[in-house]
Amino acid sequence: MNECEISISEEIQIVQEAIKAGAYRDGVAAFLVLYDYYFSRIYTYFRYRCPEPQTCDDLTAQTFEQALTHLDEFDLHRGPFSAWLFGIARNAVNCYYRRRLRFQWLALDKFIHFSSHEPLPEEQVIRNAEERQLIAAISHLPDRQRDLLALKFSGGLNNREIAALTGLSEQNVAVILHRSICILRQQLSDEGEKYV
Amino acid sequence: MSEQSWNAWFDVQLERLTTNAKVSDLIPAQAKDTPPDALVSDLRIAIQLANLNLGHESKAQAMLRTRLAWMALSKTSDVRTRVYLERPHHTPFHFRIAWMTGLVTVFLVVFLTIFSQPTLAMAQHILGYGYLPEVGFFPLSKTLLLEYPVEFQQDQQLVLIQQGITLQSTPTKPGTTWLWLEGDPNVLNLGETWLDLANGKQLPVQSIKRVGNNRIRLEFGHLPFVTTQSVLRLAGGLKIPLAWIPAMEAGLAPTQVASPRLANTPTRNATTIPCLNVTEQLMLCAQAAYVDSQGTHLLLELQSLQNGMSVHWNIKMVNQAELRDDNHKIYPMIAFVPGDMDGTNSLTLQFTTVSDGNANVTLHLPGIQIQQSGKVEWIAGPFDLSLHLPSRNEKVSPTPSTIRSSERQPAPTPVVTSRP
Repeated sequence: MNECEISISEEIQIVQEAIKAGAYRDGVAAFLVLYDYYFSRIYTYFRYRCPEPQTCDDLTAQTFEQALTHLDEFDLHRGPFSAWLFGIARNAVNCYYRRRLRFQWLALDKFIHFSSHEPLPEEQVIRNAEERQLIAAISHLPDRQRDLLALKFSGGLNNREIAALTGLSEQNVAVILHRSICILRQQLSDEGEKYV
Repeated sequence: MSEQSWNAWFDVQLERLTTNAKVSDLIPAQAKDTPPDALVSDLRIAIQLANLNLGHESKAQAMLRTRLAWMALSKTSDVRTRVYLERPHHTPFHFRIAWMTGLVTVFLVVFLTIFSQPTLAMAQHILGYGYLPEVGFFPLSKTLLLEYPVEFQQDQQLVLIQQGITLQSTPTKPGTTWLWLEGDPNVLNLGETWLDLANGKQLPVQSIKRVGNNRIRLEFGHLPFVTTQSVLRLAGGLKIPLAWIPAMEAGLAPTQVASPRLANTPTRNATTIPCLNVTEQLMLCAQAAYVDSQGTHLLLELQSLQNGMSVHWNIKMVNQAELRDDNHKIYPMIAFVPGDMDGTNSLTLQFTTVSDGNANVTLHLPGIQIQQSGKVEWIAGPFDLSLHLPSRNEKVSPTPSTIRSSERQPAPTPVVTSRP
């Protein structure tokens, strides 16, 4: 998934070092290692959930700042660091959408349609046509399916960890994931060039 | 194998995929039982999803990394001093941050302004507010702060430019820049005072106000948001360089108010805005809070949920507002400050200081009087809004305590002072 993989034991070691040394003191270097490792995955998670790259940047920043601030509250015995970090990310994007729903004077539906159908400058960096098709297909899925796909493939969480985060059962998570992938397969094979 | 078995096989492959199993191990080239074509296609989609990495889209990775490091380092005071003293006079690093922050903010504002003016308020709500005792609550999104204080000498007297802020224009208020100076005001010759900007513009001083015993406030027009450097020119040829940073970068004390039900979760998101429905068409939200020895300050906003309808506070009954903590202790209101930010209707209430350890409080209003479409209306309550306040702050220090020398012309010898 990434070119520089960190094994689980290495990750545990880095997290423990960051907490023990204090992320606000000598452990800042350890925290930045975690940042470098998780940045793309967190950002990609938000891109599953949110079509606007600038908002994804803001949410990514928010997630890591929260993680830095609350790192001493993380408990390895309750689960892996990745699950904790993606829990923060998930909260961030859910709160973002809840806030947007409250301010109804803003024509958000126009904004969403505008950003997802018109080409953005950022899309120029997506060189792979397959990638573009995949992202477009993902954007048409309901939010819950996008959330689970993002936690699975961008977060690298197993079904048990996803179930703990979302409140669903493990079996339910597996079924929703499989159904979502089926839908994506059908969309990509039936619609073809429409998503380019 | 049955369909159920193949589905279970697929689930296992997905789990292996996320533990970085090799692709060749996931889709068997040869097997006793060949998986259905649909499942193989699904697995190929899953492999594409696992390989999807959009981090290259983000322009903020390096900037955020630096900011996180800065956040972490600035928590240790001696490190902060050392780092600031080593910083050169002008670094492109700050210009990049200010430029990128300004570009993102400008892009967001312009992009959303196509649809509706209140989108500006939306941007502020997302980015939050800061608080300074002399200023009150201000939006973080378009505000600059003086990066560090500057001390200079005039007529053998030391004068300190302790703090500065520039607020951008809103639909109802012009933008402004304030600089607070500490020192004997009698020695300050402020007859010819202005700010030189990097773009060649000059901002003359608009007002000089005494705000304390040895404290005055200078007021200028607002600085462009991309400003990183300016020069304060005083009579006698005194030129004092000032550095500015976006308020978001200044490490201000947090002001987010959360809902108490989220306060104790490990992954509490402190940016949830507590709101309550006053009526079906009217909402009251607590946008920000700040607690110090002077009091508990709460930024409240009234918002009409009806498109095109504006609503304003009528503050007649506000003096009966109070905060109540979990021990039933009451904190009365001691002051209020009407405000108006970007078309929304805001009001800052100041209560007595909430006791230490009591972050969960309830805002109690007997009712709300509003003015809407020219009519005054009293909406009977009571209204109770549960809040989780940010931590108490004993000292506001939005800018680091570094002193730099000032340039004085025509005197060639600079005066360098430093604080322990």
